[in-house]
Amino acid sequence: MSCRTRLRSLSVPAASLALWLAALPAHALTLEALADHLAAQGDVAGRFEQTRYLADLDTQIDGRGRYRFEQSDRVVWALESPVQETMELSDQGIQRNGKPVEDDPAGVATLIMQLLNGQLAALSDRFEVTLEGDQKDWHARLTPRQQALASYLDSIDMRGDDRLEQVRMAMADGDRLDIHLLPPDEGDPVAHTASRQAP
Amino acid sequence: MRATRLPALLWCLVLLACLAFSSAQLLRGASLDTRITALLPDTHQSDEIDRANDQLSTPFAHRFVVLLKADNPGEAADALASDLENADVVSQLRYRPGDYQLDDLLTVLGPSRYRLLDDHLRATLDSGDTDELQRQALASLVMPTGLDQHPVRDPFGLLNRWLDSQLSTRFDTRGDLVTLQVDGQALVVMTATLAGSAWDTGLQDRLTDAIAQFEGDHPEARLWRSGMVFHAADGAHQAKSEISTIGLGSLIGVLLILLMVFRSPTTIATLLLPLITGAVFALAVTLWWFNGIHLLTLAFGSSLIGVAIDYALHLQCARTLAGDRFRMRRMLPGLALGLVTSVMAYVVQAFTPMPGLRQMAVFAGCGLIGAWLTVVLWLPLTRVRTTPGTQALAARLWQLLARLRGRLGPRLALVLALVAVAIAGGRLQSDDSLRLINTSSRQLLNDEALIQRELGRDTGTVYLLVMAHDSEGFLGRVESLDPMLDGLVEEGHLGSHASLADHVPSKARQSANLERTRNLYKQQLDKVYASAGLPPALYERAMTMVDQSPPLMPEHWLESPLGENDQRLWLGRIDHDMVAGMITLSGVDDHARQQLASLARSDEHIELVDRVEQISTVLGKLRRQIAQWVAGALVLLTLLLALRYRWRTWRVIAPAGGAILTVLTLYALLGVPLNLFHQLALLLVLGIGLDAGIFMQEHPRAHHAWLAITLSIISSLLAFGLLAFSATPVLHHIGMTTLIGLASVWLLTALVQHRLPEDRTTPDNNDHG
Repeated sequence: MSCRTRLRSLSVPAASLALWLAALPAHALTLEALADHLAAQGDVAGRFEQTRYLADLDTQIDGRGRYRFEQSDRVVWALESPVQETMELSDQGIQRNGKPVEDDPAGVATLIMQLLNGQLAALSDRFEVTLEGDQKDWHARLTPRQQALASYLDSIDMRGDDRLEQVRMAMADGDRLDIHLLPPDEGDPVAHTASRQAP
Repeated sequence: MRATRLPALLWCLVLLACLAFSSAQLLRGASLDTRITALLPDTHQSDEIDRANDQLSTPFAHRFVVLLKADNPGEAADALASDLENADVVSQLRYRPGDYQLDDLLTVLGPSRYRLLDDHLRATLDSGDTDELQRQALASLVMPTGLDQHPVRDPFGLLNRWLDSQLSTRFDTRGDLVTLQVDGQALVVMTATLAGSAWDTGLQDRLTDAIAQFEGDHPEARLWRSGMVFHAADGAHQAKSEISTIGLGSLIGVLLILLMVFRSPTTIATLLLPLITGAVFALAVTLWWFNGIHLLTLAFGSSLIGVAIDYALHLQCARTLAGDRFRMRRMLPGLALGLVTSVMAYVVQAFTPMPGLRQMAVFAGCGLIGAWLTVVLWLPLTRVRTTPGTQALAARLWQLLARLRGRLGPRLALVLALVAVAIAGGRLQSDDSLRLINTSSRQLLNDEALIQRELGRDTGTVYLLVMAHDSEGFLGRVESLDPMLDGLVEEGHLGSHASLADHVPSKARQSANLERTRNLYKQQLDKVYASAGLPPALYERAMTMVDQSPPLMPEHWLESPLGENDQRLWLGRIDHDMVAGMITLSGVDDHARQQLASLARSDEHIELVDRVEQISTVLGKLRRQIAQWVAGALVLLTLLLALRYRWRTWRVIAPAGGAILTVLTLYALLGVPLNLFHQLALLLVLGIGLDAGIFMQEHPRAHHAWLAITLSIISSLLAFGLLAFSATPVLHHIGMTTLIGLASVWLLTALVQHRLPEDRTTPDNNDHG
């Protein structure tokens, strides 16, 4: 059991980090005010752009796609380039391209749902969260509490105003992952409408 | 008088020496043994199987697992941890993700990852349809969702796929605690390594106290427990408390009755003295002989009280009723025969090959001899008071006997005996299952079952021992068996199987896997790089990593912190040209058992080992051996007794023999399967029954004999009839049998005596008149 737990403690965060980030905007931070502030935006959809920087190769891989957060219900993260892949989270679990993920570390979806529902305890359990700025321009830094995670994830930075705009993951080996969540009205009228229709 | 005092003095010195020796032994820590295995004989198995048994059960004996549910799990888990640590019972405790020291997964498995492909991936690669792998590779390069998914080191996420195929996804390590979902509830998983032996009663007590303290502080919390230490503690605790409550209850009962009969505390003290001296003598000899004493020996040994008090009762009853007319030499033949027959009945067990029974035999034999010597050497030196009350009671009992005696003649007795033999012989079933010696509470057994199911923690009781010339041969052999085992799992005949080969493929398989990986790279890697916008030059670097990949060696894996759990599955070298390892099996049904047994028969390098079945076999053998030895002893005793009693011998044998037949016939009719412990109790019935038969023939007209027999049976019924209400199966079986058996002894003793003319009975010792 010890071996399995140890392995799992690595692979669960690895598999789910990207998904957490996708889920954050609805209720982002431990500060209740910020969580409420972001929640007031309702459902949000739009495009995202991301860059993975590989330090040892000094090169980068770009990707882009669309995101949609349906509050307290569903998260869709659809990569469109360089390859199409849709990750979807709901209380049914995780689906990749419409199929349930077989090797799903059970509970990732649960965690996401906790985040969406504002159960911030789950996030601050794993991360030290420091928050700066105000509601119009905030910056949160998440550093892992567990040595297991910290040994390869340095920190996560999140910035935004009324909504989450940018996520940057800095890995311990110098690699980085930058994700920009573009505003709903920039190039995606459907998403824009969707977000305005939300209560 | 001087002549009788010297042996009495010597006996006193012997007892003092015994007392000093036992105290020293117990103070030095000779402890109460509750291990089932200590009772079993060496099963004459191969060394490999012994080593395999030890190795497989070690984790279960040295560690324990606790699942915890609480309103505030974090606080409760910390409190439990601190209670356990303060009690000094654990050397290592893990319940937070950080407690599982993160080892270098990448260092151990990373370099060999191109050689480690699970069945599913292997099938995909062999099918040649790898476009989906390319797509997934690209997606994970953009957004890594796994470990070390790097364009050069692992573009296809092989390491992650290997880990996913190996891991249980049940544990949740996201929070501060390691938790497990059971029936929709998150339970904290706490694993501990014991600071000492699971059999150490001191450690058991400290652990039990620590958990009790936690439960007291957190009444809302619920704990599930798994581990040998809990079973050992439970068994010792329950048996100890029952023996002491029931023992105390019966002691008080016996004392009250004796007080009523003799109305003299001094006389009662003289009745109990032989029990104490017998116990002191038996304990010292047993400790000296076996360096410890088993719980079951004590449980069984306490059954001797009934036989040991017989001698004192007969002597004191005779003295009380006869007063000055008492003559010791008239009592001696009966007392001597009583001792010889009882000791023979118990000591035959010493000839069985069971260490447990030998210990019981030694304890029983010494206890009886000790009590007898005290009765014969010490009691005549004491004074007894003749009371009219005692005489009146004896007279009333004698009237009762007069009404019962003579109702069962030899012909009717023979017919009844034949009927009983026919019923018992035809219908009596037996039960030798391990359940009999399980002293754990139902609660603990349920906890254990739940944890074993949820955590896949097997106790290593059923397994295949696989031998080969080297580790490569072993891994290859196991890989060749896997499809058959997987088939059994799919058909529902087998729960699961585990072996070292699950985590370390054979070199042959690793080489074939490496070739598959190479082909995948050749087919798809260019496309992946092109789509991701990465320079094509990376291809050579990636291919070099594959080419330089070393195989994962079993030794390397076992030495790593990741592989330490697999050490129990690997024996290594067993002689100069053989290695061996185990495939543990769980949830084996009859179909699977047959198939595995025939596999083991057809291959001299494979053995199927089922330890539960082995123990049951041993219990069954033990039961049959006791039955045979005691039957043999009974025949011998009958011949011996016939020398003295001639045609009256049947009256001597009838109470004991008839009572045993009554018990067996009743069990046959009620469908109670006979087990080992019923038989041990029948030995007590035999001992008391023979004493009764002998004394009634030695003193056929004496009120004191019948009074002593009645008192002896009542006191034994109080002591052992009460055990019938015990929740410990062993004690329950002993109690139930004793209850039926002794009641029968009393009745039969009365019924088989021949009728006497009214005027020829005497209230005193002039019984040969």
